[in-house]
Amino acid sequence: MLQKFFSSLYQTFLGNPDPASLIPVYRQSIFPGVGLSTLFLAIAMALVFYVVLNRVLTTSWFKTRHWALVLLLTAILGATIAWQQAAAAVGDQLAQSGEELTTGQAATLKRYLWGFSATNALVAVLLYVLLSLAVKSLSVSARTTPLRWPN
Amino acid sequence: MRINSGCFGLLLASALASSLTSCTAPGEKQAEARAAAKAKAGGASATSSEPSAGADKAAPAGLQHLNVFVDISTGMRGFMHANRPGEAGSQFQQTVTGLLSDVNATPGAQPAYYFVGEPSAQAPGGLTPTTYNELTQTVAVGMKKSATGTEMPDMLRQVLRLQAQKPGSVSVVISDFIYGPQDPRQVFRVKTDVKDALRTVADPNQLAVSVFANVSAFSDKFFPGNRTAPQVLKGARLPYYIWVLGAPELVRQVNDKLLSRLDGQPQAHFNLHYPSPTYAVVTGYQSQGQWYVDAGPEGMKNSGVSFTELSKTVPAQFTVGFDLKSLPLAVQQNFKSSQLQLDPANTDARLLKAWAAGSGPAAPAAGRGFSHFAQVGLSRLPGSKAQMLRFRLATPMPTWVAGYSTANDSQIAGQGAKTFMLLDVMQGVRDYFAGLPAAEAPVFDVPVTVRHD
Repeated sequence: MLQKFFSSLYQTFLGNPDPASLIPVYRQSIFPGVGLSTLFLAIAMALVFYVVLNRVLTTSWFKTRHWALVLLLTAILGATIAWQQAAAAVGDQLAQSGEELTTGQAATLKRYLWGFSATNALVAVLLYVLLSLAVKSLSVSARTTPLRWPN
Repeated sequence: MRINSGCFGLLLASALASSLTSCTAPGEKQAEARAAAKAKAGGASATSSEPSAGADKAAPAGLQHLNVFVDISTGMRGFMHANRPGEAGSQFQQTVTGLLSDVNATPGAQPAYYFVGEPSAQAPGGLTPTTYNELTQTVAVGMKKSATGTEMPDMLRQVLRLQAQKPGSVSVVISDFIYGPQDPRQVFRVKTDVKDALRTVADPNQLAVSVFANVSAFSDKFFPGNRTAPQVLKGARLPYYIWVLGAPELVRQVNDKLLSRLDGQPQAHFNLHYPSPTYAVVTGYQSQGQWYVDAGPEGMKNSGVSFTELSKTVPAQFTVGFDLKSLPLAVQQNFKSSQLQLDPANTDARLLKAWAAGSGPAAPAAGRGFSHFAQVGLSRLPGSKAQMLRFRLATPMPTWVAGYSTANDSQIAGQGAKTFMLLDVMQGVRDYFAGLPAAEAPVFDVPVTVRHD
């Protein structure tokens, strides 16, 4: 279920993994693994902003531009974990199967990994925004960041 | 407590740095290194084949007795005679001595040795039990007394009878296998006589026969199969044969274990079955198109291919690796595109080429465990259902037999290494197994599934 969901999510943006020989490792481990990690990342970042910084502690970090900075950080971390997890999984797969990529395939792989990282940055941003709306009512001083709606 | 924004700035910077330093894709460096090495070596990198595992295999289960029969009729004297000090001995003496030593050292199987001589009161069938020492001694220095010997079909009959008495036994028969009926006008009966002799085993399913041909120096009296006058030969080269008879599974085990020293010799196998070889689709070797390796039929690993894109304009090529290292050399050498058949099912799959590792393009690490490869081209795969392609390797035909056979051996010295009516002898064996579906079976018949992603 999870595999199917994340595979179709990323493949909608990116198309099939390239080189095609690595499709199984993307679908079975990279897409669901990175997807879940990104979900947890977004939850953690939203909780840090609304609960840690603006409820447990009292800081001056409650404005929209602070929220946007955390959003940027989330995007960068999302891209980073996507690259690192995918590269590690692909490396393991290549070592284990003994497959050897040609120079052209390695370049294609790199392109796809950049695309995947960028896509995951977007996914992280999207999840962070949605989770912000969900958890901002838990906050004390940032209840209306970045916008008043829905409460 | 207040957290200043510098802290976050630092975090941001480190995150950026870590993502920038790690942007080498896996395989990229290796691919570059390989490309550089290839340019350096002019693309002439050799495939290293893995050493074949299982050299120290345990005794095959089910094999309990190994009966060895050595023909000591006078016609065999030319192969085994005393040598002068320092002489190397005939090829027969070297090979048979080595073989007997292997037999004697086979763990788990009880060896028994027999002379095949003339039928007598003590040995009604012509078989005389002997010992390892006596037999090797006889091979080394020759026979003490001459014997007229037993006719070859009778010898086979006796051997098979003895074999039937001891379940789990395999018989190894060493002889020149020259046979001509008493009446030279009846040589057409050779094949029927051989077939009838094999009938001692009523069910052909229970029997397999392997024949290995050898040529050795021969110096003594030669008795032609067509019953003309004996000729005295000096240093001529004549064939002799090692026949292995027994249950198919056991014969295969004995061939593997004992007769690997004869692997390069001409050979013929009847009703011998081989276990299905290990095989898999090899990624990134002589490949083209958009596909990945998938599970095959019944969830078998790596024996399926899924295409993400497939059409006339985006055709695909993939390579299947086979591990045939445990099969006889003759079978391995038969692995070529004329003998390997690809059943394309409902697709347009066709075999592009077949090659042995080492004689083809250098294989990637993924292909190093395989000894042979077949490349398949495909551009049409109708329907969403998986299609099952099948690879079948034909059993090699013993084409050498004709070259070893003669219809008239009364002037054998001028003919070279030939055996009287060998074609008919082998035809008799083939006739015995005729009609048996398994006898016509290919060496292997393995599936590979293809499907759309």
